[in-house]
Order: sequence, then C-alpha cells, then structure tokens
Amino acid sequence: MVAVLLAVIGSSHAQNAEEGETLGALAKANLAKPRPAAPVDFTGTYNFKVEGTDANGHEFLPHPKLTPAAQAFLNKKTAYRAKGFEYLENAGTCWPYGVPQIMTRYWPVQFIQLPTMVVVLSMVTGNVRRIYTDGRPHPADEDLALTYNGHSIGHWEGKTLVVDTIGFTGVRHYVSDGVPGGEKLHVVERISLSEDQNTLQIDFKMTDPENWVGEWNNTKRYTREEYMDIQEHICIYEEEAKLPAFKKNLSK
Amino acid sequence: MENERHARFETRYPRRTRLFASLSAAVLLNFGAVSWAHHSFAMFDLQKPVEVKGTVKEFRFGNPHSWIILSVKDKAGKVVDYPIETNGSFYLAKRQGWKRDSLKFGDVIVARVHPMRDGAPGGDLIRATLGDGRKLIARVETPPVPPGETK
Repeated sequence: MVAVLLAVIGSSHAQNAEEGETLGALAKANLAKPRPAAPVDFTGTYNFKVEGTDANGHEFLPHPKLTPAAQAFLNKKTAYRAKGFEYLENAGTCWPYGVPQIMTRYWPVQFIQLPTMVVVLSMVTGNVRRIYTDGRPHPADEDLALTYNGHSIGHWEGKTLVVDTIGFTGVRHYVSDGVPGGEKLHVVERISLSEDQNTLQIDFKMTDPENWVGEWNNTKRYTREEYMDIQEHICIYEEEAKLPAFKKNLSK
Repeated sequence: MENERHARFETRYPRRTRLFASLSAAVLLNFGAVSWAHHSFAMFDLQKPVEVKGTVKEFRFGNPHSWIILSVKDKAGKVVDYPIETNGSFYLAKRQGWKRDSLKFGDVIVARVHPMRDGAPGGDLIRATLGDGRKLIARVETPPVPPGETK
C-alpha cells in the first residue's frame, strides 16, 4: 500500500518535473524530503517595537539619497499633507501596503515555520507572505507576477534566515511613507532571534535604482508576544471614505 | 471661523484645552507614545479637539478601525450623521477594555474628537462619555504632529 502510494507520488512528481513545475511547498513529497534541521524556529507572534519617535518609528528613516523623481513625489505628498489632503495615500483608501511596510505597522506579525516555507501573517489587512525555504530559485522574470509583497525565497546563514524578495509592482507601492518602490525593488531581510528568543530582528537592505541611490539599510525589532493573536483586519473603502480627506485623496 | 463651523454640531470648546494638551504631552513623554493609527492623520485637526454630543446610530467594533456614527443636530436643527473613526477592536479591547457592546444604538454620548480640518462633520475619537458618566478612552490626546510626519 505504502509502496504503491510512494510510486504514485514519485511518478506524479516526475511527470510534473518534466513539465518544469515546482513541487508545492506543502506537497507531501516536498515536506518529506530529507534536509538539515533549521537552526532556529521562528514560529511565534511578534509585535513591532517602536524605536525613535512614535510617528516615525514605523518608517524606514533616514531616507537614502532619493532620485529626482522619487524626491519630487515625496515633496508633492508632503505639500498636500500640510494642507490636510492626501496624495495617493494607500492605507486610507485600502490599497495594499506591500513589503516592506506590512512588516512595520501597528499590529502584530506571526511567523509559522515549516520545513519548506516560512509563512508570515501580518495583521494589517490580513496580509500573508510566503517565504520558500525549499531551495527553489525565484521564477524566471517573465514568469513573475508583479505584486505588493513580491516573491520571497529564504536560506540559512548560521542562525540567520536570509530572505530575498523581488517581483514587486510599481503601482502605488511605497517602501516608506511617501517613497515609491518600483519594479526593480530588491529587498534582502536578515532575520534573527535574540539569545533569549524574545526579540526578533530584521536587518533590511533595499535597493531600487529608479527611486534611490545605493543601499537603503534599516533595522527593525519585534517583541515576542505570548498572550496575543491576530484578529481579522479588513480595510473597507466605503467606511474610510466617510471621512472626506480620503474622498480628496488627490491623484493629480 | 473654526468655532463657527464646529458650532453647527453643538460643539462645546473646553476652556482648558491648552492645559489638557500640555498634560497629554507630558503623559506621552512619561509613558511612551502609543499610536494605533492605520492611515495618515493629515485630515484631522490635532490641535483643536472638540466635544460633540449625539445619539449613537451605529457602532462597529473591528479592525483597522472601529466606527461610531453619531446622529447630531446641525445648525438648522436637522439631524445629520457625524462619523467618528477610532482605534481597531484589537487595541481598544486589549488596552482600553472596550467591548463589542460598549456603545449601543440610542446611547447619548459626548464624544471628544480631533475634528476634520476642513470643518466637515467627522473626527478621530479621543474619548466618549456616556450618560451615566462612564468614559470610554480611545487614545491619549495627541500633541501636534510636525509637518511631514505621519501617524
């Protein structure tokens, strides 16, 4: 019986492999593959730790040198905001935050670690990130759907999980408040746990030659929460639009 | 001008607003600034909190924001909606002890809010005082935010 089952799995795997398909992260055959045990288990609930001022602790400050186009966008947004309006603001109009901002909001994130992937649930607008750790590469460029959270693969360097994310959309996607992230955005996160396992740290290294010069480095920390879970969090535009600033969320 | 606009919604301006604002700033410094906002606060006037009396028409306890729709009388005596946004149920419950039925249809409350800057009806809740004097705290009163920063 077991032999038959294995033969079936084996043949279907081979068939799919011939077609160039990647075994799913939760496929039994993938989960069952022999691989070294992960050096750290990140499974847990973590709440973002504000460092710096409250207003700015959630952002990636200071900014690197922005390209003229990105700087012009930021200036325009800042000028509108000073008047009480918003210029293409995402949160209040229920557009996605995307990576990296979903990692630094006001609500917790949960890490669920499996042998083949780390699932990150970010409470803000019910976001899910799938970080594949089964050795797969990123898809070929022409196969990448451009998304707000991008495509993430991870590998271990000692006790650090190194997550590489590409494949971002450039449509109303922001890296930090008022700074756009484009299709060339590349985010590398080095994720580690403190010795006592209670502080999660993510060192971000981000590049996007269309929007800034060189590397944008920033470190964020999170506190493990043992008495906290995630609640449903759904942004409903008709509700947000009850407050007129979001009806005046200017696009020109 | 501001006073006239808000007066339409039976607004009462506390005489000690400035003192309260400075006390709030001190509280923030002492206990750490906590903000649970979801989006930019540019639309709200953080410097001129006002009090609005009305009857609860709707209360939705959820995330990212809980919402109170108050029925208030405008200057002409017509009953209009005054939408009030507040923190999500996640933190209202965890940190301020709110329940899903903390506000019920028909409750008459006085809501202290950061009003819309353009004078339109609506605001961000600081606290609500119920008819029996109980207070539902939503947030620490926020001191002015420097230009260019967002919450």
